Amino acid sequence: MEKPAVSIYLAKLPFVFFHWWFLEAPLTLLKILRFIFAAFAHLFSFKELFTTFFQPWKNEYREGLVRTAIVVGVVFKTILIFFDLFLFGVLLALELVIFFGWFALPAIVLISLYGAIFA
Amino acid sequence: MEQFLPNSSKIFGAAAFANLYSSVLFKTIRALSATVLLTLLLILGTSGATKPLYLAISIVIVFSIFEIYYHAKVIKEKPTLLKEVANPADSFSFETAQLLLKIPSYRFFGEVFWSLLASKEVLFVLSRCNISQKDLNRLVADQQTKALQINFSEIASLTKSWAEKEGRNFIDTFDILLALISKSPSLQKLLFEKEIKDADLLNIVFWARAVFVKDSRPFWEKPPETFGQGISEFWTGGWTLRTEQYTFDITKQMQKGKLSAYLVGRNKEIEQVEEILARSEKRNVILIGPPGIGKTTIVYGLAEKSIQGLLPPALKYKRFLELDVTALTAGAAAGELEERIQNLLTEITHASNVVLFAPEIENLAGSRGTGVNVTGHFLNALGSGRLQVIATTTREAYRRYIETQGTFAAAFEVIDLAEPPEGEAIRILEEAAGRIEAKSRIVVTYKAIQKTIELSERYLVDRVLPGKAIDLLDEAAAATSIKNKTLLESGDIEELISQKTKIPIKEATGKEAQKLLGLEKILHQRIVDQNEAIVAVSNALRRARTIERETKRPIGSFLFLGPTGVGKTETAKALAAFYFGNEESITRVDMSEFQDASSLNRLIGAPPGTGEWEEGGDFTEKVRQNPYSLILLDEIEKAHPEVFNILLQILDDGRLTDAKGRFANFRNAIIILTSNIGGQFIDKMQRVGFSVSGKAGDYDDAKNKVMTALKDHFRPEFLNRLDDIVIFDILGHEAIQKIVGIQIKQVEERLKVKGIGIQIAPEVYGYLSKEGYNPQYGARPLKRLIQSKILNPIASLIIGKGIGEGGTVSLTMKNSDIHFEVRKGRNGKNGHAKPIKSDFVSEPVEARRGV
Repeated sequence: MEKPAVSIYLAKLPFVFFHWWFLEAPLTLLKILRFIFAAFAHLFSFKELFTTFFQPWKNEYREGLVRTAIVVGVVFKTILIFFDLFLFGVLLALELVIFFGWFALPAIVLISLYGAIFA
Repeated sequence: MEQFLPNSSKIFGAAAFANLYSSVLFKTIRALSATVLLTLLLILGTSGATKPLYLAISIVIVFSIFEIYYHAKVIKEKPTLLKEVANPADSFSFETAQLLLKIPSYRFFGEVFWSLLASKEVLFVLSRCNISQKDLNRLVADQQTKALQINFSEIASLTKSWAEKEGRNFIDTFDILLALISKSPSLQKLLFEKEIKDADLLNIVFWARAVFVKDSRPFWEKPPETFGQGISEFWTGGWTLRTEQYTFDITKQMQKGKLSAYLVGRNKEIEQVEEILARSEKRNVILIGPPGIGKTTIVYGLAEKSIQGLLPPALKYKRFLELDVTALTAGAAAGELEERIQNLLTEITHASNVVLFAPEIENLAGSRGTGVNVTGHFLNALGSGRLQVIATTTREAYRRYIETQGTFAAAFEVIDLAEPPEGEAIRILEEAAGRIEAKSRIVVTYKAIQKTIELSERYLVDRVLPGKAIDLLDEAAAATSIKNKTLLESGDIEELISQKTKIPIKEATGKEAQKLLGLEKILHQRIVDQNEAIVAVSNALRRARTIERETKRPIGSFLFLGPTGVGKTETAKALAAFYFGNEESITRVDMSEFQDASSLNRLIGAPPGTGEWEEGGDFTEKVRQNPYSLILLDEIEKAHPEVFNILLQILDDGRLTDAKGRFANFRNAIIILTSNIGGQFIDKMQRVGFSVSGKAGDYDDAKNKVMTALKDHFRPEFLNRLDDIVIFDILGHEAIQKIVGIQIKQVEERLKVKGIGIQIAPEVYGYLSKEGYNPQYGARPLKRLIQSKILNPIASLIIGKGIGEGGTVSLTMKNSDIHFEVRKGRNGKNGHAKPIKSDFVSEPVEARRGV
């Protein structure tokens, strides 16, 4: 019974690596980025900002305070919606950079090498 | 058999590379390279040298890409599913493959096994099997074990079958350990010595998997809700400022990490609670069960799941508030309590994110603890579906305080909690063991857990699993750590239970085994003759100490028949002293006090509605307080016939329910009933000269007559339930002489404490055995005779003659009476004394009174 030689593994490594880097990993990366987006939406309660938009702040029920609470709620939630939209914009941009950056990374190596030789 | 071929396996290839890449040498090279590259990048970036900078950047990126590849791909390599592979090596987990690649050779058992010891999972299993480093060293030293040749393909095949048996799709380190054990006689022998059976081993591996194998899903495959609640919870949940004064915020404490739920199993009950709380109306549930069954744990478990977002939307991210009845009622003036409750209910209703936990709800329903009944205030809110309430109570309290208030009771859905089955109780204790180990800095063996369940079930009868077992394990762990031991074994649990109950539990070995074997001799040191009785009780004790009792019946139940003063009580005392360690461990009840039907109330308690209901039963209370004792029921024939129905229940089920519905447990008791039925036949035999030394035929005849009288008086089902019916013989003169010897020895012991010796002439023994014997009262008058004729005069001599330490009193017979001669003591003087006037008559006081 023989143990596997590391050299055999290393010989196959370039093929396995390219398959992983350009096919398997981007798919996983997409899942991760989608999860981060969904987690942000959940943590910043993006959906609830709209579904509870006209509900009184802190579910206020006392006579005379309900209208005030609704106004307070609308104001805060409007601010939060803009804040959320801004955050999602930034997040989306970052995710795009990361996703395309992933593909670009090997190219950057080649560009840098080109620069090292010909610059 | 499939060939195990690691050299052609993808996972073993990756593991081999990972072993090399994570070796100390490579780790050092990687760390140095990273430092040099970053420094170079910094220097070149500031120096303005473009070409070297580009070169450095490309090297840094290549280096980073490789590190990403190593961490995200190489070490995350997944095994191929078992059913899809031809080579079993492809189905080994990555960690197991890494471990196996470190083995120098697969040919010898020793080399494979020692390599496995590098795994903390394997060490966990071995330590829980009570296999110590010393045991392992012994195994290492064994040449035969070391040189045992194995076929690893066969081992791999076995590992595959272990994995398939458990429904797993890959092979891990535990499977290899199990396969190796099945191939090693030395390991099997070691496990046999540790009393670990195959099923125990599998349970230990199951335990280890629960500890080490966590949710392996990457974070992006879990729902986003599991990462906590969104910010909307801040504004959608209403204010609960007043409520917070009277409640304990379970959710907040859990979020702070100050509180945890250790919920194991109970899936069915949790599902039921979830369903009820998620309804649109009547969203209230009441958990019923005795203390320690896990009612609060279920609520805390739900709170934890709610925080983690693992519950249905109606329960997700809810605040679990525990009602503090003391805070709610404290200092409340008239009307104030109602106001507080009203505020609390209004706030909770409008908060819309609160689940109210009301422990011991009977405290709000008029129980004696608080005397407060505020259920009426809750009715509207409970029925409307605006509240979600989880209440807890015991069955008895539910029956008394909740069920009687129909509308309030109807607002709750009842869930009865039963004790978990043994398997589940073991799982719960394994979970609890982790906390206990961390707290006490010890290791809890599997056998200790098993023993905790077994003994708590048998001896801690007034509580329920798993609570009583957890408390017992915790106490044993604390005691073990105090002794500076690091391993909690089953023996420690036995020792603790023995301390608590005074019952010997450990298997009888050495001197104790010898004592048990010669128990008759030991009992005969106190009891003269009565061989039949001594053999019967000795056999019962030997059975109790060796063979596991399958039924829930008492340890032993005997009916002792015979006249007064023949040693029935003395036998009971000797038995109590031997088994329970103290002859005072006797619960004695005079059954002649239970002659009429109304006296049953004193036995098991008066029925509800009567004034004495609260007091409970005299008899049941005594047994509840001291369940580990000898129960002596005197003059059983005088008891009311109804008492025998109660006795039937005790002898059959080993327990008795009192009027309050509480159990008195007799499973750990020895029951002795005494009766004088058939006494006339024994007396008659005595008059014609029957005694121990009489003919065997006479004895059998007497016994038959006594048994007939017994059957006339008691129902057969009662007599059949007794372990033995023992007839105590009338004491003959020889027996009386022996008893005189025993009693005189006790006098000697008492005087010895004072440093005074006593010499008694043989004719004094003769005098005492003649005067101390009464056919009607057996040896009972002897004690009084010795007191009157010996102890009283000696006491006078000690005072009058000043006998001190080193003094001696000689007793001889003169003029048909005892004569005392005093010899020199330290402070006293020599002399002799006339016998003082004695008030002794050979009949006891009762006889003189005509009783």
